[in-house]
Amino acid sequence: MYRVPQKLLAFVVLGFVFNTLCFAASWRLEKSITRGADGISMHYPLGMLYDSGRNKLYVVDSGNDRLLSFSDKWEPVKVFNAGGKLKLPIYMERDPEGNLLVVERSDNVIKKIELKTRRITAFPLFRKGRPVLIDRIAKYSKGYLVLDRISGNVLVYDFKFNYVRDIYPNARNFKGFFDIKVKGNTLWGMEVVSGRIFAIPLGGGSQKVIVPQKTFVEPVSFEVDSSGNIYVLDRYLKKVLVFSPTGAFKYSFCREGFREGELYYPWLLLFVKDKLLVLDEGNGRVDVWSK
Amino acid sequence: MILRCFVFLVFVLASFSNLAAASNCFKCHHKKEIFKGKVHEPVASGKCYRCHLPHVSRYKGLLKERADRLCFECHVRFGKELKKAAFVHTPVEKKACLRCHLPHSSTHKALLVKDEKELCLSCHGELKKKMVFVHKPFRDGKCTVCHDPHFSRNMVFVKNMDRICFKCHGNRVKLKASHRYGDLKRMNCVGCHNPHGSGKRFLIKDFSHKPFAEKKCNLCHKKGGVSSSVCVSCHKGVEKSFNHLHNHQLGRVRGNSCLACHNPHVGADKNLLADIPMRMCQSCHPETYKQKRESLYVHPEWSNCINCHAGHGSDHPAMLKGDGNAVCVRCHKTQGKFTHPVGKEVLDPRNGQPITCVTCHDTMGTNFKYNLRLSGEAALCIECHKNY
Repeated sequence: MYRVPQKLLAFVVLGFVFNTLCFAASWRLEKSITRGADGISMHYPLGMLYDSGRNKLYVVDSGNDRLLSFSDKWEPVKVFNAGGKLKLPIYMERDPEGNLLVVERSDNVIKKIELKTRRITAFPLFRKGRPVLIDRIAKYSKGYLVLDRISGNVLVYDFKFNYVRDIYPNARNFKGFFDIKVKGNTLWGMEVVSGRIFAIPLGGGSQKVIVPQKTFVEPVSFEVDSSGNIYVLDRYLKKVLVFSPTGAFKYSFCREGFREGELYYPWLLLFVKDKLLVLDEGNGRVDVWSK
Repeated sequence: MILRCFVFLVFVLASFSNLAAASNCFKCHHKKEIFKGKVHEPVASGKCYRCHLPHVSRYKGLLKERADRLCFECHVRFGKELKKAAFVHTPVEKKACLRCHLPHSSTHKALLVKDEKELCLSCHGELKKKMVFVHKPFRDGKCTVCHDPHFSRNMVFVKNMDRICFKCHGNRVKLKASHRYGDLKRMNCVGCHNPHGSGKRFLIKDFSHKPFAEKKCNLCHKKGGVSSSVCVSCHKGVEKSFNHLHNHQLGRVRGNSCLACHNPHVGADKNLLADIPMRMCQSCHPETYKQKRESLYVHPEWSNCINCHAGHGSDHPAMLKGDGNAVCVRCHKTQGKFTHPVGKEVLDPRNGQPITCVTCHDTMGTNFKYNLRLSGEAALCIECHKNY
């Protein structure tokens, strides 16, 4: 009498496990980037930028106060510390002229580094007279989008760092963004704690909200692939959780550990072409995952 | 009719057999010594065999099973509810029922081993301090008026957190008169009042924000706005304490992110923290409690989070007050001098990062002695020493 339901249950469970394993197994670790061109290991890296024009990956090696560049084959190219003038860099971007913009946490400024003239200019940012705690910066067609850790809003600045306006979603109980990405003319943002994902068109239009169907512990970063799937990095769970474009949970991969492909204190996700880069602050490396 | 007679006979015989068995027991184990005050039901009905074996047993007191398992054999519903509970009182979690209850009889309610207050304070010694103004239920030793001693939906084991105060303090007119600007429905009573006692009238917490003490409400409230800018306009130096790789500036959490941890009016310490660190931190980091609950070994200072973690900002993961060595050797002084090699020169072969105390230890809780991440017998060592 109980045989049929048991078989059915076993079938469903096995199907689920198989499905999960198949999806998870489709991601394989291609490479672990652990050190710069000088052979020194990264320590507490916190920022990544891929320059598609130059085909280079930049990693902000916060613990060593330096920037590292890598080729698109993930080989180390250069190490740059601005003559020892970087203090706790956490993120970076390039301006339209190709100069480096480095977010420095110690002085809470954006440092513009003109490589040709070797001139460094610091820009503290303000919003309505109050200082901004600069966390992330992203370039878009009309200026920069800066994530302010105090308000949790994205602040729009022109290319001369004049404040323009705030961007935040029209959502109840919005608690602020924790991570942002700019894709085309859309600002994507992940809400602190809840992990809700918002897509806000920068040229105007209606926003989109994706509520991942999973409870996170400490979601710190996210990415969106070409099919619209959402990837959320949970720093406490040490996992990348993958959701469909509607927010349905699909599968997760990675686990806690110190070896390559394992995560200790992961911090940031970045898609470079079809590869998923996972920056792990605790293990001091960038794991490159490909399908 | 025959069936009825048979059932009746069975019951009568069963009762007689119980009493007969019990009367045997009570030949040596005198009732006078066992029957004191309120008697546990199986004892009263002479069912000694429910818990004890008459001849031999591998458990102390000739028990049939381990004491904790025995209790749950009868208290099945309690066991089921316990499994679902969000927060479980430590002795219950450890299934140490006999820590608080007597198995046979007691002169105290609920078969408690001691008077309720005396029993609670035997662990919660921090509440023994003298207070000028004391909350009546606490003074009378009626801890269970407010607390559920077994499990709860909140970490302070308060029964029905939102309404418990209004059970006694239900006079809305009187309350409204003394809380003119507050919305009674949304009010967090224990935010300002110490539910046990205080040095101030109305059990208001001992430390006051200066403008509040001086009744200069408009100093903050007139400035309006919901951001932390209201706070940093006076506490200027504080802004820089967040200029670290990791910080607790978290957007609009509770409107003003300062208020996520601090009470703007009164507090139990000079930093006007909204609660004791353990409870306050867990309100956002409940996973730490889960880890503790699932671990056999946790750091003895586990509950005093800000001993090791920075409240505002830190340049280290987990917002530790120093790197994985510096933060530990403040207390573990000898380990700073004599230990497995650690420091910048000693790199972990798995990730090339400097080896620190937290490479091998996880102070938040593990299942291995000394809070090791893996068994110290071998598993942990061969992670790095492959050919050992």
